[in-house]
Amino acid sequence: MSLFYLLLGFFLFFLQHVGPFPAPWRPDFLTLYIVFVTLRLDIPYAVGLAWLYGLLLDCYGLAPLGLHAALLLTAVMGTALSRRRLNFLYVFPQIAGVGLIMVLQAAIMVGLLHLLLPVPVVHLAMLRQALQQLLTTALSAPLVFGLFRLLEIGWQRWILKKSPRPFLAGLRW
Amino acid sequence: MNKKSDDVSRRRYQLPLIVGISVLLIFTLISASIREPNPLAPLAAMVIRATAPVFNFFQESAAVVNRVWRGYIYLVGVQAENERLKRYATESLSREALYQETLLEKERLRQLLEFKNQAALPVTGARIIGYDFSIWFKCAFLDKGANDDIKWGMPVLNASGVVGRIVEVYPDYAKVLLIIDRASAVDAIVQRNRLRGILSGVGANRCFLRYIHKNQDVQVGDVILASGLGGIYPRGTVLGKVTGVDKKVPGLFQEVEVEPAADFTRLEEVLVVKTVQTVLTKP
Repeated sequence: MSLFYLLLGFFLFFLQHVGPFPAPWRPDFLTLYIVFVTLRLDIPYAVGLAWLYGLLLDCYGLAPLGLHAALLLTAVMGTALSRRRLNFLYVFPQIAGVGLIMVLQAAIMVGLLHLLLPVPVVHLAMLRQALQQLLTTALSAPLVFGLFRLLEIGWQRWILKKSPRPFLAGLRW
Repeated sequence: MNKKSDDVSRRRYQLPLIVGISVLLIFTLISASIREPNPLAPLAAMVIRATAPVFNFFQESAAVVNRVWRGYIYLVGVQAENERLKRYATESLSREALYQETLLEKERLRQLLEFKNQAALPVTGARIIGYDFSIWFKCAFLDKGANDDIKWGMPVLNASGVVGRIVEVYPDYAKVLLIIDRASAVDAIVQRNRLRGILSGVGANRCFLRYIHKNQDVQVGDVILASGLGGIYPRGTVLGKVTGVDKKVPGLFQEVEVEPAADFTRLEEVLVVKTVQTVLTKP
């Protein structure tokens, strides 16, 4: 696994915590990142990264350890099961695929919160925000994936000093 | 041939195996971390101690980008008007941006100082270095911790009003539960008619004043204050303003929506009140 994916994840993690756009109008960068690495790397690596950043999110938030890891692992599983829809060629299936993953994540989060935490209230306003973030993330997915791909090419060209593969080549369909 | 079929079967069972192990691990971790005392707390503290300095670095970098950006916007008009002024302004770009930033900071600190004098509370200033502003949880990270005598349960305020309270303390950092988080509940009163209720967050950027009976009078624009009865927040500090009242909801109580006084998207400096006697004890 390239160091690139690890550094990109760290950058997005910190961006998510100090960045100027609060949720729900900020795309869920880490979910998009996990979808991207699942498409680009073998499943065990993607699972490892999902655990790493999930646990980091839990340490910096108020969630019990493992909650965000569960969400990011959902993204890995969702992506692994629908690689064809999430490939980098077709925009609309990609938006729909990311949207479905976000719905699954929200369902798991609501379920776990109800099961585990002493305050089992999920207000309508919260669900509305979740819907807003779902739309923001899903609609921005093609753009963000394109940006990740450009960064990846830049990394290969400028850091590793080797000619990158063509823009859309080498992907798993 | 055999190797190939082994590889195929390995790949076939890889995903279900990973899912199974992960689910098991997740439930083990979650059940361990909701226990009190949390056996995983030292692990979280270690991770935070190792990574929190990076937040400082990112904050500093963001401030520099912000300064340059503001300076650039300022310069665009000057460039169009006069080439000589542009050259001069380019030279003083970073200085000008720094002045602006210092001026804004001074104004914010002046407001905090004014508030501190008004409130006459023993407080210490702290900076927000990061925040978890996701849909589900709302908390912030302060650059001060146990080494600065920050303790669990201390209320955090800014010039506008209540921000939240300390829920986790590390040697150099502290975690603040914001009042808009769904786990937050504050004993509150309506300033106009002293009606009491519980102000609770709902995870979105707003709160609701709960347990206000439908025949009680709450109006849009009413100011909500901390009652002081919870033992955490100083009596009379501003919590927010009523932005909506709905009496058509089912049940005994009306739904009173409150916009918090503090703007949580722009938090930079806050005050931690140090000697408020909390009646709660850490679980």
